[in-house]
Amino acid sequence: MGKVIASRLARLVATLLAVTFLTFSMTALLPGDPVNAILGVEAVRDPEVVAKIRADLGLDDPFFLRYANWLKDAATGDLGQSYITDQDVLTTITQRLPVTAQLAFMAIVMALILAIPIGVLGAYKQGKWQDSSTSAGVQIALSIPNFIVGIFLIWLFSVRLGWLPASNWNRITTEGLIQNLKTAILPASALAMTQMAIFSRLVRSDMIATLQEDYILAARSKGLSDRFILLRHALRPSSLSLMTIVGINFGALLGGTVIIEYLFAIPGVGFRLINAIFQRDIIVIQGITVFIATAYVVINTIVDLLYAVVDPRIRKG
Amino acid sequence: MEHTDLDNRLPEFPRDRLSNVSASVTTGVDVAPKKATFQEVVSSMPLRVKFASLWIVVVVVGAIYAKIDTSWLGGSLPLQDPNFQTNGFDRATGSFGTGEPIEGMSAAHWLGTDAIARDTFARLVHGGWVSLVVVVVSAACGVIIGGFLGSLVGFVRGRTETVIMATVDVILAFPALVLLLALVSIFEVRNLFVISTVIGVLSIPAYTRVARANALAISSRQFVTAARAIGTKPSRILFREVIPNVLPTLLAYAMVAAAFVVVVEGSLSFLGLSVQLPTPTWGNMINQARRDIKLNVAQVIWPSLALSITVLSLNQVGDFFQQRRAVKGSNL
Amino acid sequence: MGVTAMRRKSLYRAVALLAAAGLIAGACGGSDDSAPADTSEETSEEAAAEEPAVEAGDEAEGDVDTAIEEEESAVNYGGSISVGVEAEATGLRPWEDTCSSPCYNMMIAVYDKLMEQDVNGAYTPYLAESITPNEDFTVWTMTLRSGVTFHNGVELTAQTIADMFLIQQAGAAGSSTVSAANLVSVEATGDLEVTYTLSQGGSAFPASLSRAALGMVFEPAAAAADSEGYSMAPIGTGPFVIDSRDLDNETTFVRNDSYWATDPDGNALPYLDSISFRPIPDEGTRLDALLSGTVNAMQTLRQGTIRDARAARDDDGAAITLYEFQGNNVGGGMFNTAVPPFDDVRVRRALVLMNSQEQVIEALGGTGISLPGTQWFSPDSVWWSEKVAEAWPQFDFEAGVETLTEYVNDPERSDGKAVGEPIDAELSCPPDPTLIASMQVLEQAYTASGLVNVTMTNYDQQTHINNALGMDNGFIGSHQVHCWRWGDDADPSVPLNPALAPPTAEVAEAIGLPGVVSPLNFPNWFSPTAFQAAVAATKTDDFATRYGLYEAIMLEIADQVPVYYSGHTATAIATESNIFGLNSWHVPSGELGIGFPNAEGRWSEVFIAS
Repeated sequence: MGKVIASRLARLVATLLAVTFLTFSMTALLPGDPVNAILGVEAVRDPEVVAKIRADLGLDDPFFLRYANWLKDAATGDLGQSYITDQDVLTTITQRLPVTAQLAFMAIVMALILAIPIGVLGAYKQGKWQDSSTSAGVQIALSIPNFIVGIFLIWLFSVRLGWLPASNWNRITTEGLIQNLKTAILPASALAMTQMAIFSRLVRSDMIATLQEDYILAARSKGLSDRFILLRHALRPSSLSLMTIVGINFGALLGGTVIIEYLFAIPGVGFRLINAIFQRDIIVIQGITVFIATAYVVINTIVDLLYAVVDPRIRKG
Repeated sequence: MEHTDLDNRLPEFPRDRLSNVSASVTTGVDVAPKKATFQEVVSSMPLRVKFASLWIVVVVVGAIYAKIDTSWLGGSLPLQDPNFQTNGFDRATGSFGTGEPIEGMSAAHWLGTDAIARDTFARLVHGGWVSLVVVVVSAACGVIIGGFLGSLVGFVRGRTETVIMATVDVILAFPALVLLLALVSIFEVRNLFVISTVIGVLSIPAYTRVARANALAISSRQFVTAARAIGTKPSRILFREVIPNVLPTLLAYAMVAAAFVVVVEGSLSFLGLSVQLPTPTWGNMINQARRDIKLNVAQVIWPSLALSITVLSLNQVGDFFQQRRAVKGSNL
Repeated sequence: MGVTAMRRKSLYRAVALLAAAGLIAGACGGSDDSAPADTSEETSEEAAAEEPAVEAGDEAEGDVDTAIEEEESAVNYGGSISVGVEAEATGLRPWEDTCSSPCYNMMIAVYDKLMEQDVNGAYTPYLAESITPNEDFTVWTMTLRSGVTFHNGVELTAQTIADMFLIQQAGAAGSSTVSAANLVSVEATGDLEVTYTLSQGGSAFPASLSRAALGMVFEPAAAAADSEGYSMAPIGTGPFVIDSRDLDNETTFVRNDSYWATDPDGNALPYLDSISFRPIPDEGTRLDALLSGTVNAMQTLRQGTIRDARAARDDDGAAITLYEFQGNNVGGGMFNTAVPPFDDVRVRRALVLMNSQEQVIEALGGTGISLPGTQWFSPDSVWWSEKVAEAWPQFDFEAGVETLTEYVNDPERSDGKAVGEPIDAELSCPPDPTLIASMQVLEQAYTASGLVNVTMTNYDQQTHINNALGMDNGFIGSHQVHCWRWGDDADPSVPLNPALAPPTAEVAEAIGLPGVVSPLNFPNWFSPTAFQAAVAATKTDDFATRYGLYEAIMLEIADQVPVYYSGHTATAIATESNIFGLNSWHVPSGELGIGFPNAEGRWSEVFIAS
């Protein structure tokens, strides 16, 4: 077990190094002088500012030294500072992370609430109309990009019906949970749809496999009720793989909410990333990209480790 | 259960389908698989897959037709200019002729017109071109480069494998859309070449992984070990035995990946970060029509439908071919 | 990292900031300050009414009229409003952050300006009590209002203004205004007396003191101590005090209980308990937010949104009031006259003749909202000239084709192509859907002529400005036909002087003014007569003389067409119909203020009717 953890952690460190290196290389890929790209028009203004930024970024140092210095700063939480808003990048991220995390969390929960019954029903009634109609629905849900879902949710619930606000974010801390949910429900729904489709497909196929196992057949022959068998014996083995994909997708959603945050003007990490891209705020793009990738890799490793703890086959080796 | 194999996780790329892919080569008798005829394939399709294939064919033909010069047909199959005001330009007033902005459906404009009176149907058909190019380039990059790399390292193993797969892991460690956004933001000029190349390059790792998994399995099968035993050159085995057997699985995966690529390109277009205007794409049509959604929601619906139906169709066809590979593998 | 503090004055300082202002304006049409409000749709004489009539008409509330006038509803204390704005302010530091309409709306809640404009567009003291020039307009003596304190309790004195100047000089936004105004020193010559010294006389100097960068009064000690922190927690003397700032979500200000100003009846201001601003970038969503009550007011710089808001009010009976304003600036673009074939006036003239302003405005969604432009001033401006309007080439496609054919068939054509070959033209706008729609109208017309190979590009704003600025090719730029916005609601000298100065060192040398280079001459068009007229206009405060000079400049522009126009900026603030006061705030003299220029509200006298 200790060996598994050690090897997973070693891989984590290696991956993180590579991820940071790749992100850092972005500045090297920039056409022309990075100072121009970073400062834009301001670069013409003041040789002193240019010199300061060259020094800050160590642009006259060899590339690998620059990377090492940047990594050292990043490891201590210094991802640099936006030259457009003067804001510290890490502060920006930590302020916005709760919003994005809440959206991702809500999307996953909403997706699970729908996906498990749908998946179980599909597996139990495999091949019957209940299965084919839910499968068709799931296929459709899987195929509509989330920004399209978002646009039509706004159009229906905000423009036509006027039930829910079309944008913005009420913080739980200042406006309370109800107001918060009012602003969170539409974007979370838009995100939840794809997740629901992925989860229910997984539940269905897992359960179909499990239902053919000997012990299920044995339980059936003992006359146990279908509902008992489904929930007690069949769902539980499936839940392991379901939890794995939930964990991974939560990590992926931290970066996957970008378009929905942009569409709904939600002050999360993704919205900041899009704004930074429109402003060509390279330092912020770099910081957020490396943060999202790191979060994703770390969450994956945690899921791996938990999985190894739970599943004896992997624990062995 | 195959999806519990954590090495086979493909972040963002449609990872829940991969179970089928690798399953296809894990069972079966060890002879090189035989090819099915076109008719056999088509007749084994369920109805929905037939419809899906038909839609894809229609989009592809439409996109290509839109791109070629059709004047030699004598205008018998007219498609209006997607970037030009309808019914010509009125030189006296500089106006849109008889076409009105944001028109409803009519005989002259089957799906109406957009905010500057361009024919929505024509833009929709032309919009397929960008998606088509991006899909083809990404599949080509994936199948050719990713497929070769994956087959190679799955066959020869060793340090090459460690290095290449580590690189693949790193690239797959980024959420795809975030990496893509970061990369396109670097380019000042974003044309079709840049966009499809970036998406193409980012597609390589996922294909490499699929190819490797299959090459690993194939390399251990009897027809390959037999070839080794009789002293066939490794390069010959790679090109004659391994790659041809990896290829069908890769092509099946390409269909599923295509659905993902279409969504990604649509997302970029929607954000205004894909090809330059006025080139129509479904994503930028949605974005532009969104401004007038109160006046005419239909102009948002048409490109949304085109995008969603295409993704749905690619998923259907992709699933069909993946399952087919799986079934064939187990039946052999 | 202290970059801000390190900034020093430099030669090109002016460039970036004004460029940035032009760019932001170019994309969305806002800028500081303004002239009298008017939204009448006809350019005829009837529109020249003193108090511009703004079409209002909310039946539910009776005769609500958004013309600037004394409010008749009884004022009411208390309540909070939330305002949807189109973008988050990059910062709230007047000396540092280049500001368009959204951020101005927030800053004006916290900061008072030294000068304001009254309903007639005249500059009048606000936080200042008086200001007087010397004979040649090089020395201006200002007296401050007494007994004013900042939100942190510090008292406002002449020394405050002098200390502010040190920060403004080094600030990104301030430095350009300082150099544009030729301001060299600011001294405290008494407890409340401040003396401004200019290197060249400028009769329009009070206009500079009504601009955010130079006119908004901030607390210099706190600003110097922590510039970045100040952006999040600004300190001014204004009617509201910052309460919380949640970036990209909500910025809230609460009532300043010890605000110095009162309404004309002597009641304490402001009326509202608090006001908050929420950035909602999407135009449609922002309007939806108002209609669904998510916000109580919203700001827009887009004709299409004004059109939708009017429809919501008139057709759907939404209880909203629309405060529309026609900006004293004009959208459109420019030709880079340093680049063939745009160095040939025939090409420029042809492209202008083929440009149907009516269709462009239609594409912008501004038909019946935005007036076609013929000069840098709107028909409501005191500077507007009938003569120039007649001189501007009106749409005539065939004439355009004829003119361009002449160039194309000229064996000596400047772009070096073979006779008969179409010219190449690259059209470029920032990637805003509205601007892109308007650009495509041009593209269609040019393509229809068969004489132009059009390509279209969209770069983000930074790159768009950079391309026009051309810092890597001697400020010539890589642009050809480039979306831009012309004019400014400040005094004409503010936008015109830098735009008419020699664009490159070579030109400056050739006319014997080495060193007088303005990178802000984006079209690279230089006319000695126009430049001299612009300089002469800053040496006098006689209106008739100045009017004549500016008219001459505009006539020359109409003849040489280095720029082209679409429509004047239409802007609006829309509020729920029980919110009053945007059109009825006062300057300290008791006169009505300018209103709501460029969708920039003054919030101190806004109240919610009971």
